[in-house]
Amino acid sequence: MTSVDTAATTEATPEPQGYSAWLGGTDHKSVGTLCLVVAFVFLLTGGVLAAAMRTQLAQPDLAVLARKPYLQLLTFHGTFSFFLFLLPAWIGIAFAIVPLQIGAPRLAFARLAAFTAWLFVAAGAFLILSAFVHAGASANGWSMDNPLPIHGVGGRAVDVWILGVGLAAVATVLGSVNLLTTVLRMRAPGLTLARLPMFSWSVFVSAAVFLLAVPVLLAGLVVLYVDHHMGAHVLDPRRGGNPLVWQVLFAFFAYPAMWATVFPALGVVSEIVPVSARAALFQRKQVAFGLAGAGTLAFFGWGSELAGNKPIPQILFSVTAILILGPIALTMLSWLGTIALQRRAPRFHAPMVQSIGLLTCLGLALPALAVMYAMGQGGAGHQSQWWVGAWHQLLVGVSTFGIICALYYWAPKLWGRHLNAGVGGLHLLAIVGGVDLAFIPLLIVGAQGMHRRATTYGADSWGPANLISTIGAYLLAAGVALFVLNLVVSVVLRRGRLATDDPWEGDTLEWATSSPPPLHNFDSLPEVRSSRPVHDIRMAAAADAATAGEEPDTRELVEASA
Amino acid sequence: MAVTEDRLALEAGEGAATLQTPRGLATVGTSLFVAGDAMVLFGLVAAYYAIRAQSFKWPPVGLGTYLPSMVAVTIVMTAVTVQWAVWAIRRNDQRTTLNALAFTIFLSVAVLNGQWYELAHLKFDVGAHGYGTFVYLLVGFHMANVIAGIIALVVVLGRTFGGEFNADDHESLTAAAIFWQFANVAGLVTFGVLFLHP
Repeated sequence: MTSVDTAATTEATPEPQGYSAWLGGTDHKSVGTLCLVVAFVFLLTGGVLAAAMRTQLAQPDLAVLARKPYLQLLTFHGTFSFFLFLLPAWIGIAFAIVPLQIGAPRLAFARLAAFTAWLFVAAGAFLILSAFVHAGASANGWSMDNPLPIHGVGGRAVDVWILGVGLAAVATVLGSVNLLTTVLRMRAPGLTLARLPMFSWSVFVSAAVFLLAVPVLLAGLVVLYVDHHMGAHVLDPRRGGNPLVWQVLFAFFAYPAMWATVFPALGVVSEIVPVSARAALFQRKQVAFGLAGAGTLAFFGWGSELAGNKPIPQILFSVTAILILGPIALTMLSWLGTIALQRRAPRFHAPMVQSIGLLTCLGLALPALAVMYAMGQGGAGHQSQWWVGAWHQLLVGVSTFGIICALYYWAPKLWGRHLNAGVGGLHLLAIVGGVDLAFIPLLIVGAQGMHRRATTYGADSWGPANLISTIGAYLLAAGVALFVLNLVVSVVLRRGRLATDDPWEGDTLEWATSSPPPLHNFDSLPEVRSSRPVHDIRMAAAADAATAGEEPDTRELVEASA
Repeated sequence: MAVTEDRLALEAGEGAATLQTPRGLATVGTSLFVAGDAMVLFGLVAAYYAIRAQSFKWPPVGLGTYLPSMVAVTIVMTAVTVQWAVWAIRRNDQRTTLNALAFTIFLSVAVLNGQWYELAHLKFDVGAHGYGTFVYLLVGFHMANVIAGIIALVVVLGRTFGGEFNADDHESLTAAAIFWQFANVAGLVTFGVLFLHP
């Protein structure tokens, strides 16, 4: 029997305890937790900013926020939510989970992972600092092109913004290198790439996309910096430059990177649904290839974000931007198939219930995006509130919701405590209702021509839709706050139900160790002969357990098999 | 890193499978990092050609090609010498490895010096015109990679001197060589784009 005894060699090292573990440590679980702490701080901050902006737009001609402070909040909302929430949150979860899923004792580069987490902290510090520099925070939008900050436009804040975003970008590149190397080189014996768990595979695809997309942003930031700070005019059309240089470099980064925050959410649900249905993922191989295909297509749809393109590239961009929705929709069908093809009803445990919420949001986001890219620059195009509504349905309803699903599923493993399922049901309703109420009305006013950066509006006909959207935004904010509260009370204050080693009867290797896992992750590894190694052990032992009349827990089985 | 990996080089005893120190971490990690680094270069070169395509007079000022050519030739020489070091350690020839690495570092400092001289003696500043901006940006990008590469080469030189590498175990040296070859590619692309065919 193939197995590995990993305990003996790590006994000499004392395990750091408590806060010192994740402040000074290099253990991938505490480093991932640190990334998540940063992410949730900025999720809440970004959410409060969004609520303030929605308050200004609740009624026509309100004067809650003047134009400049509104645009400053808009800039911070976008920057925080993407660079300091979605990126560190997914990298943090991947740091914490991928080594466990592939049966590795650590990440490929443990200290680099800690450095990555602290780079996110530094990036956050600089971006907050940029609000306090002379002349106030930048109001140029998260894509820094409205107006383009050439020749000192936007003041010192832009310099600090460039530094902060640059640090977050470097952190993302280093985190991606780490995760890719870990998946390529640290898998347990027998765990071939074809048997890789779906979450690890989705992380692999996303990390590859980040690795090739985010450095292009760094090139753009350098050009932006010399134009803004050093008197160059690469982006100044009056002096032989071209503003499209920045816009293309930014879009080439932003469009694939936004999709790359969606893939891990699909990966998480592709873990939860089969475990809930007690079956293998339906058409698993097709879903895996589909995700890789979507990752590739993500590099070809960026141009449809840009105004003023020529018709032929515009059509190509639109077509690829619609094509990418295909594999995503197939993934949804695979989840439905996994459940529908079983004779037994699925188990509706907390992660599965959250996943259903994600599924409803995804089902609305895909048609909204399809219509937007089919329309191109006209009507419900990229400059209207439709753009805001459609992308937020995806980035909030899927990318962010996926983080919630992931934590319901893996919090018991990582921290040994369940999140409260009752509270979960409550914030599930608030978040799904909030996403629908906040973003569907934006599609309507967008189709009627409300500009995506409008800071107020006079037409009375937009009043009701905007009011509903604002109420939805508050509901969404309350739901997210409730989730974070649940996380804090259950995990940080240790009020949550104690977790067993394998609370969901999972299929993948992370359920073969204790909850929380020891520093070296595994005392012994089961033999991997399929994509569901823990399921295999459970099946093999089922007959024995039946004769003995008792159900042994998973870890006893693992150790027995060793 | 070595200590950690030793600690993780686990043996489960007679008859059981052995989880060995994963090999190829440094080379795979470096290759992936280089892919990201190459995308920064790709972004800068794409921006360069976008500006060039809409300019009537390009380059606005003529630059001599003598010094850049010398730098390019030196770059090609370091590409050979660093590979020489890798081949030598594969034969377990530590003395030749040391010599080849030392020679590579000497040449790479010459490259750095040449690039620095080039930038310091330009008659325009970074904001003069589009071409000038990209001279500073692209040469600067290459220099940043050269500096990082020299640090990596000095570290592996020290480790070679300490006898840490042999024919079976020289992954960090290979990784440093991979990174250095990328820095060379960046240097040659910069040379071609800015000076050979501006």
